[in-house]
Amino acid sequence: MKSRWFEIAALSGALVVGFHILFQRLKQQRTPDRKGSVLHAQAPDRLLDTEASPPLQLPLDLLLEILARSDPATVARCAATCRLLRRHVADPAFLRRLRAAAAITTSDHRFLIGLLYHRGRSSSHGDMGTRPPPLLKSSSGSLTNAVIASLSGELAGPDDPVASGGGLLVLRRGNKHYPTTTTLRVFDPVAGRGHVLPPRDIWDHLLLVMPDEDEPGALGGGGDINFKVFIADRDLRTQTYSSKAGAWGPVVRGNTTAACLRVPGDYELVQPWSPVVLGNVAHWLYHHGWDPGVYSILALGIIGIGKGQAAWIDVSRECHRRRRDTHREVCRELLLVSTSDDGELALLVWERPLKVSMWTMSSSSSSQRSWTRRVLIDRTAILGSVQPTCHPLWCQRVEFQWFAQGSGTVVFYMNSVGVVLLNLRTLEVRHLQRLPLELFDKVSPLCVYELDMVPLLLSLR
Amino acid sequence: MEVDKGKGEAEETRKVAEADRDTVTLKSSDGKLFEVSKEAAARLSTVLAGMIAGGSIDDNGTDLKQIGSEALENVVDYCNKHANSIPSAALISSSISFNTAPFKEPEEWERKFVDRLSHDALFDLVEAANFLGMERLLDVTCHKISEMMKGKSPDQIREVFNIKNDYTKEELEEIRQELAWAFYDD
Repeated sequence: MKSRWFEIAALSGALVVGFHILFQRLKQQRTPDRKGSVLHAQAPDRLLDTEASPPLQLPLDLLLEILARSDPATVARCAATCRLLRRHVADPAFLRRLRAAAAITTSDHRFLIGLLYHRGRSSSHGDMGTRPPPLLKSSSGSLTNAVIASLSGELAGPDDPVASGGGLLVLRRGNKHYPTTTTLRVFDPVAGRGHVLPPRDIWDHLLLVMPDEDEPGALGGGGDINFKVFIADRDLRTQTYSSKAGAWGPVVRGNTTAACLRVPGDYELVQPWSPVVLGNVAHWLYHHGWDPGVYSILALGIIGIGKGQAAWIDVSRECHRRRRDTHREVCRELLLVSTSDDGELALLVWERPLKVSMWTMSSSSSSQRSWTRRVLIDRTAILGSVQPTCHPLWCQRVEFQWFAQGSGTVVFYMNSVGVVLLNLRTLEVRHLQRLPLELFDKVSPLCVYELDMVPLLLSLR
Repeated sequence: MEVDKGKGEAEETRKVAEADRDTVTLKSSDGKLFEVSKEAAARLSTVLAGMIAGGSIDDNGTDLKQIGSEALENVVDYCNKHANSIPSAALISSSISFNTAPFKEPEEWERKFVDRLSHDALFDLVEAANFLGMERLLDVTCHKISEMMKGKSPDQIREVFNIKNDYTKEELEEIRQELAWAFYDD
């Protein structure tokens, strides 16, 4: 009875029609006896795709639903099963879905996190300084082992890791006190290859690296990723290097209001120096040098038409007031995070006596922003997950070190405990390693590397 | 394929009675009847919700000719179990926010629910969930199948999904090189 279907379709909208059509397709594809399995009993389904394809056990749409929930390695192996799947998996829309899902699902550790330490400030002996070995989150699989080996080899050299993103690492060679004389190099631990960038025209006060999803494909085949490196100086002039072009683009200044023309001289970038990227805009947290209680967030367009456009977002003084130690000037008790991969900007604050709260900003209007606070984890949750070597009262020093956006992980350091990971999605607290305070003092800051396998699938295109 | 032949005109008169019942009766392709709470059906399935709202539910069993009795039994079982477990809006919400993600991890009982199913039953259920617009069940079943595929070689995946290899030998070798990182475990 067709009329009922039309009735339903009218009621439930196109959705039902979609299901209906899908189902019709499905019926045509299905082999009558599934237990016999590999019989290709029916003619290829033209509806499914313009090219001839074998009858699948499940309709393509559902296979893609399943793949969107799978890890990139499984997706890659599926792409190796037939042309049809390869084509759909390499579709930018699918990759976006996969990335969003990978950022959200928590059961598998799709991202490997490595904490890569800088060398200590030049030691008294005048050598390169000390650097603890990278801390790498244990994870099974020989890909991760290969990446760990590759990263460890890289870090044995003289270059310091300064930024990471999209599974790539940026390293700096040379004296960091004279930034314009240093050389930047982008390293891909999966391919095990490095790419030295030519000299840039401006100082990289701000720096970020991202996979170039508009220009997928290969530098020289073999799954290399195309990338962009974005830099900005304190005058908020920007320059972007594209691996596709093999050169820096022109220095660009965004069309911004006079108030946002530059980073004021007394503003200090709060560590970590990695931005929180939401869409086409990157965010960095600044501290006003003259007032320990005032913080601002710089929002800077990194790609597209808004590139170079800057805006300052004031952080509510309330966030500061609840801090554990309001006297310390440059503190790492505030951390800029995002609530999910494409989510909202938020600020984490260590509060008295020992808890982390999250402040989110209502983005309704720029003139009247209001901040709302909620406690993420309290003292009991923290101390239940980590075992301090001394009385909790002595765990006085707590500092945020990094926000790893891909996995939603906050890295913090706690006196007498060491390095601790807090997963923002599950609120799971994981004690990574004890680290003596003396060592910590010498080697700070660090850089965090996240393995991101989604860009690797771009080579399928 | 024609859907639902021969049922029909009496429908309008039934609508009134329908509204008073708190269960709906669903009929599988092989004619078996299943009862499910109206509230759960409407909450978990967009298609059933649309049918209930539109009054196109048949008292004597709403024909779901696309769904076999085994799959429909699992669907109904799932609805009942879901009604008994903690009903949380977060589970069916698709809004992206801090703790309510579009793909939420299956809960313990949901894991158990799909774990006991055979391959075939699972594949049937995934299609039924898709057909009925049951987002949460689709999530759970897809998640399970995705777990099954983990670590499988392309050959094994082809076998499970009845995929025909249409690559040439040279192409396969090329892909293996391009995606070497995904084949480390072999």
